[in-house]
Amino acid sequence: MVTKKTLADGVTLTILPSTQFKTTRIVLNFIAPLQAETITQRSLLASLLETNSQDYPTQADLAAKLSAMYGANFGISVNKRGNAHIFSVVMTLVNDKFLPGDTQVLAEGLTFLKQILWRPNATTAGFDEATFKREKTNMQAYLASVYDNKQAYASLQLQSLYFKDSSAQRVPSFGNNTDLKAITAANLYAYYQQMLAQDQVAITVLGDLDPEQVATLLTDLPLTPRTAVTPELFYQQPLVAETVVQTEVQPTNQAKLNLAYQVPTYYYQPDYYALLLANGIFGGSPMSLLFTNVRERASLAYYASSSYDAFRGLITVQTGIDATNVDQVKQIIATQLTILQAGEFSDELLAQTKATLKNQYITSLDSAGYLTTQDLVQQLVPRSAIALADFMAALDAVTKEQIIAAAQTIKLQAVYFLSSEGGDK
Amino acid sequence: MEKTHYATLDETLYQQTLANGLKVTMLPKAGYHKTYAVMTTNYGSIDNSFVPSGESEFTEVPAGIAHFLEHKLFEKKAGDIFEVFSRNGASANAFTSFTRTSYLFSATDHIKTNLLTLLDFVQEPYFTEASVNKEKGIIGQEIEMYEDDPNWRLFFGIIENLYPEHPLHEDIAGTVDSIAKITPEQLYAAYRTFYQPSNMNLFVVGNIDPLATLTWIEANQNGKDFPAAEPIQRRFPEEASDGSDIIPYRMTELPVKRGKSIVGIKGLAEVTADRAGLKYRTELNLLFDMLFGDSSSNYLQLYDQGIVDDSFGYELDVARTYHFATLSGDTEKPQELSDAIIGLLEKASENPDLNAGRLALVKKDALGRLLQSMNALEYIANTYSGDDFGDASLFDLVDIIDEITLTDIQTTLKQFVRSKALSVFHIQPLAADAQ
Repeated sequence: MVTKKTLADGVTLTILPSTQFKTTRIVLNFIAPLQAETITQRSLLASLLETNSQDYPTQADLAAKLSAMYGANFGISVNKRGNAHIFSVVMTLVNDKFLPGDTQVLAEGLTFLKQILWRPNATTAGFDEATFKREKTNMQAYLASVYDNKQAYASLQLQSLYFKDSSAQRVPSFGNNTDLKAITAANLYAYYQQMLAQDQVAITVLGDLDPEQVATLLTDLPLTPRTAVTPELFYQQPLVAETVVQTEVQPTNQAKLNLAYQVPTYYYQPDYYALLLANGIFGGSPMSLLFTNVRERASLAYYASSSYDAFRGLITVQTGIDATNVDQVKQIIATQLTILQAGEFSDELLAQTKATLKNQYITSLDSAGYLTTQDLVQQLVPRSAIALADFMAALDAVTKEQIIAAAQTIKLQAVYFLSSEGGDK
Repeated sequence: MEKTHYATLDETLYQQTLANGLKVTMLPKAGYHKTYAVMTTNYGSIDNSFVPSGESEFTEVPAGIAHFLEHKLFEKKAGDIFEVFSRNGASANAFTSFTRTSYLFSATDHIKTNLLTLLDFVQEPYFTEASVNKEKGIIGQEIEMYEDDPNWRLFFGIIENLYPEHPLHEDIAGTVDSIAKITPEQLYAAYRTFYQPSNMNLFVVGNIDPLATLTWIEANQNGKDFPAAEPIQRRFPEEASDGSDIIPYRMTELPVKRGKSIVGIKGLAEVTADRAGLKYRTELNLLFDMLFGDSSSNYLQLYDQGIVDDSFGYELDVARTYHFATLSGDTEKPQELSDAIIGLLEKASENPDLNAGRLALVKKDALGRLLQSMNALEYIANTYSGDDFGDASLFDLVDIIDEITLTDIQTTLKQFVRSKALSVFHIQPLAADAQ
């Protein structure tokens, strides 16, 4: 049975019992309103805390400790979820029952997390200078190298085009160079103290374990009461009358065409299922309109797909093509949206898309990572906490008319084209 | 049916080789919702010179044909196999490596139907002039996509240095020019030769009953006629056994902001396709963990000197006809990185990180990661089907890791890391992109 506890005001604990996995997964989520100024700080904090601490002064010490706990997996990730920023400290440990003798990596692992978060390599004056400098330099280099992955680069350029009036949405989840410059070992440490004291905290533990033992071990964490300031989670922006278009040229082999569409429907709102299906039919699977027409019929691309961000009301389309074919590809994509909006897709494709979405949903229940994330999201959006059977039934109940209505709300807003000089070689 | 229980991993494997030679392996996983099945032929991008089934002379086929065949197998007279799978809620895919081609699906329902669809579509080829030509545009874009991926370019840069003769240096998908030459006849010849059931294996993992599953598979296979199994004859170019044909260094410039550096080590000795080969690979893995892993003093020094960062890593590939290791990272100074790595490799046997305490530590780490990997059905199935160590597999790693001594590591180090077997490849930003 799922155990839910409030450890302090604004600090929750969920224990998800499961015998399915050979591991225990522990996630501490620090949740804050998404702000342009703090995104880069939180990203650099993740790198610093992963590197060393007072108890593990070098990263070799820290890595050796993880190895000694039978290859424990530890990492910190930073993510945007609509208008929220989530700083997730994640640890995966082999369940003690599979380890030799009376090895107790669960207790050790929780102590390790406490050491990492509450005894960082810092004094009251700030983070250790040498570590700070090194990680800041590495992050600068990493931020520059985003340019090197052309698919990721094109996707980020499209986002900065679409979110042109929202600085918080425009800054990538891993930060940017302008903000990085202003960060010092002292001001970052001060921000970290504020984050530890003020962020809403949601802890999720998944595995075959004794809930009492885990709860007791976690009560030991110095998490003081805080006010959970839950922002309006869903990001909205006004529609623009005219599609924003940008073209950039780089000497690559393949050109990338990325498009952004706005939708007014958010996570588990009434039209959510219809929009999930509309996106699935549009470009969400190998039978979709985009895959079939851009790739299979016209042979113009290897990948052509769409994805739906239900926290920001955004559908994006991405494809890699020959630069000379861009007008033809744009035309095909526009036609597919028209077909979707007119309901001129087969019942067969609708049935396949329903079956695919169901399979994806059930399959994700086999992932420990998905299950802990789902618990967090259900806390942020309580109405998304539904039974599997209800999800299936809701999907089945969606009619073609509802999909057409949902599809008609999809509005093209931005087009980014990364052209290649060598496109016609 | 053979049943083997692995106590430490708490897993039970079921195995049966069918009358037609197809090797079936099953791993039931209680509590899982999905079933993942992968059907693999021992045929990959390097197998471009062979005697076609039913003929007596060697033939040479264009680079990229195994991967091309993989794409085309999904298309049938009646339409696309993806549609059949998706109607039954399955998600299907395929991939081609240097030595293997694999077809797979993942589903939570209609497992029997999906499994039979997998067997049937892989065993019923349908290639036409029109459909083959249509695929050339799609795969052409796939090739261009990889051409723009600097990590792929880095990897193939070093492979081309290490294997100037061996077809390993050809991109798995071939080139736009090589795939232009592919014909339906060549695809059928390759198919007949390499898709014999005796050259294939099927791995099924998930929410299954092994007995019932085997019954479905056997009934399906018994209902089909296969030509008698024929031995497969492949041919590979002669390579210098002392590594003297290795190109020691090359570089290229790309539209990137950061440079990249990679050091390659070519295995010159032959590795056997049995438990000893798997032990050898495991020794190499542990050796690199000890020397260059996150907990090594070497890595710490390089990191603190700013020579490497989190992008640094190493990879090992031990397979039919070849084995090699690569160490690589992103850097502003590619030369500095490769010099440092080579410096460490050349004096590795005296490196203080090679001690009993560290071996015990990396063994603990390896055992823990093996246990964690038992959560990942795709990883288990793909590793099991992709490895080429005879009857030995990842399930034997608990014992193998336990057996390995510091002496084994030192012996393997001496055998593998030789000065003549090293090569370096760099990627530098184009002048216009340099910061």
